[in-house]
Amino acid sequence: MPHITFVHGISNKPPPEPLHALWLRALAHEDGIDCATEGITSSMVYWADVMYPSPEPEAKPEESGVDLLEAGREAIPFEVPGAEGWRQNLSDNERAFVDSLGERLGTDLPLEAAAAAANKEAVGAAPRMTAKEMEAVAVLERIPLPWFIKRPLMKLLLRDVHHYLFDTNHSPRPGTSYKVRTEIRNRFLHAANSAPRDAKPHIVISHSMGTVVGYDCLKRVPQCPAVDALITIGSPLGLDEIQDKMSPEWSRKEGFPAKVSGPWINVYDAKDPVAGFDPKFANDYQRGGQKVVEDIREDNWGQWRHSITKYLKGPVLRRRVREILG
Amino acid sequence: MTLILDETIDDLRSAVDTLDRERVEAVCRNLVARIHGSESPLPESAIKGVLNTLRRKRFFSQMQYVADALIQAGQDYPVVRRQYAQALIDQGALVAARAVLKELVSDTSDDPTENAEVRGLLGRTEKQSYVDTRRSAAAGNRAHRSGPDRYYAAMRSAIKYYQEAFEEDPTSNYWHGINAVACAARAQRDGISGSTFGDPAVVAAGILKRIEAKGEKASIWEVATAIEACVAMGDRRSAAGWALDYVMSTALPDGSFADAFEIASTLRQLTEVWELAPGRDPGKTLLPILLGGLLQRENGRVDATPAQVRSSADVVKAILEEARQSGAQSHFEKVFGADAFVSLNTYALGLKRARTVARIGLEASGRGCGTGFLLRGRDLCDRYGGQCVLVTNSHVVSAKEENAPAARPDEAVITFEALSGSSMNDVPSYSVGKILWESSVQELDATVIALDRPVDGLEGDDCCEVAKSLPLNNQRGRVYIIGHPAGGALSYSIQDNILIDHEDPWLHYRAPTEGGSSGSPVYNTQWKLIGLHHAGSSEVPRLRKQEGRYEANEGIWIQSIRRALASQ
Repeated sequence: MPHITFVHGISNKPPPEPLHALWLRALAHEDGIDCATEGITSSMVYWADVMYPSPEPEAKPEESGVDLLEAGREAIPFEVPGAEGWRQNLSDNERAFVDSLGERLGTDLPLEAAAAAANKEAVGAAPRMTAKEMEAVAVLERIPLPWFIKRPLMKLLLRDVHHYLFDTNHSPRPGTSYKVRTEIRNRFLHAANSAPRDAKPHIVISHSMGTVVGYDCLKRVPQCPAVDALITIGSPLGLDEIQDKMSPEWSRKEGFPAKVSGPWINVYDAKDPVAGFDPKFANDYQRGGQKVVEDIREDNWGQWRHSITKYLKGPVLRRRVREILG
Repeated sequence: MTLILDETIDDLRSAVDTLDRERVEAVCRNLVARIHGSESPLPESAIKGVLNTLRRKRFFSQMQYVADALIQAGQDYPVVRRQYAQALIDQGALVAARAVLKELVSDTSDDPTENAEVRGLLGRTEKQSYVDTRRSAAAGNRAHRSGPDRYYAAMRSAIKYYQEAFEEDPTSNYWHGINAVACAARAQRDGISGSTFGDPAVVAAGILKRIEAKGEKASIWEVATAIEACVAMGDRRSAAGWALDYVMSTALPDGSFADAFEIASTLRQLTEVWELAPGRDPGKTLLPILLGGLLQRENGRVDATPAQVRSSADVVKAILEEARQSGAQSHFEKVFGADAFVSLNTYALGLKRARTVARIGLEASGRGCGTGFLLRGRDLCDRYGGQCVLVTNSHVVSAKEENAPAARPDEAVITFEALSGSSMNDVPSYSVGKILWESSVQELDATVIALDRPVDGLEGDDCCEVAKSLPLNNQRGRVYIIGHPAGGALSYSIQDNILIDHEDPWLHYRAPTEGGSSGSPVYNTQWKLIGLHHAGSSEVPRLRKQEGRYEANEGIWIQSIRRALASQ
């Protein structure tokens, strides 16, 4: 009996069960892979509550013909609780990481400068921009979202990646605090171990920041169970800053997790705001110096191109999952 | 006491929701014992909860049983007697229901709300009586030699009951109003004079206006009323919009939603009173939407004659073809949304599957003794190649004497009713060319047959796919069965259809099948084949080393048949 371990991505989410059901529905939509009917068990690594005080209300699947989650539920992190304060008391090591990644993601760009550059106005309109920031603008410019959404999103990504990679103590609500990576790793191990003993194949399907979680556990946590396939979707793992923090276990030539016995399929849309900086992994996560990761471009249509529900409806992704399921 | 009662009601709700008929009956038995044995009466609110819960999933006989006990014990509140009558009506006992309701009309004269409900049900009794008698008379049944006066009178009574209740309070009694509209329109079509009701379309427009003013606060019954109002006004497109709202709403703000009972009631009203048919609008648009919605509900049931299956198949095929030709921007999808399209696709697949289901009997036109279905040979066993093979039970067709009274290969007559012409006379029959393989009845109870010739009219994608895996064993999976219950007409069994357990090679499910369903295909909700139906009883031993027996139907996991064939 096959088993799928899902790992969700950045931004707040509905409660665990509705979120899990939402992923299953998206995967099953229109003659897709209906896990329950096809005897496929699954579990969800839920970690939104580690970062946020309370879950988002459950999404209405359709309203006026628009899927709210797809249309931007994840894309509207206008206000991230504590999104600014956490950068004030960082160690030198952390500050160097955050500044570098922030520069890469364009999180600190003055909005006017970014907009001017994006509109191809005179370079003089953004005199304080570094070369890296100009590169960020060039990437972000391709992404069909307004700047007032893009920038908070990048800030959210920066915070989540930092808290995870540096195992930061974070208190999402009064009376509760977590060491972020320790807690989320435990949850991944619990979910992955909940697969039936005879589960075959066992596939990890991760999205966004969840791909960092999945990779970290499979590559760097010895107790993590082996799996048969890894699927990363809309992933920021292409960013050098993240790869560097996966060292020493990660290296370009030996970046492929030994715990993954089968394929690693990386699905991206070039206009995905999280994956778009460096969407292809084959060169970055080699196995024995061989490029083995399958980078698959899948159209995540519309304005918001980081939607998991749209990715899970993608024909190429589904075909490959079907092939792995056998 | 209250706490224990709450637990009983919770238990009942859980049993009803999981369609566990055995447990529903057990809870009802306990409840009835308590009603007879306790001196303190049950609170009226609890009684309402119990009866509504049973009604929601169409457990009408259990509803009647509990209400009967309450009435006998003196807890004969009007709501109990009304629900008792409701249960009688839904089981076809119209004369008994009418007697109960007529007495209740005078007993509720000081409660206008309840009194209107009672008169509405009386209207429904008369309306149903008209529909049934008219249909029977049209079929030439001699029991109705008395002529049309008797059933015309029933229709006039129905209009009167509905009209009076509606006119007393037109701002609340919508359902009386829309029923008066439906009956008056039907009376006009059938040439029944004597009604004082106004122009049905005008009255319908007034009702619709009031419902539209409610906006999102409209209850599910009001949404259903709006569908009918649009039908009365000849507004097909708006009717379809309301129908989609109706079947796709998970719950409206007031907590109501269209479950199997509600959708079945609306379908009945549209087909029996409005006489909508799948071959012409507005039925052409509305019926697939509602049938698709019913298919998605637990305990839904679709009884379809072969002619209906063929007609519906043509309708759905036309809609899908239009969609295919115009791509993702098809008119249908733009107007009705993607989910409606999915539900239509599911419905269309179900109709397609019926084309491969055969009635097996000893003569072409008599009652059958079993069911069989076609599969692509190689889907069952590589050595069968591209030919289609017929699969049934070895207790239905067998060459072995020990399997008597199974039909012998030389006497079995096989017909595909949904695949054939427009009348039973057009149905070609086939016979057994060769038994390719059979297992004993005690083992896999399966026979694989090569027919005497290729089946006429079969299309390339009619045969279903074979599922590689079974649904999760979590008591939430569902199965669909198509067969010839009691050897009669083709029927979809999607009622009470929970897959309750499986252990290779056995599948256990709750689905109402009768003798003659033996050999039916068992599908998952993607209409992929998972099993071969072979038996059912109230004393089936539980699987997976669990003790005890329960009421269940039993099928054979198709992959275990494939394995047995591969090992030959």
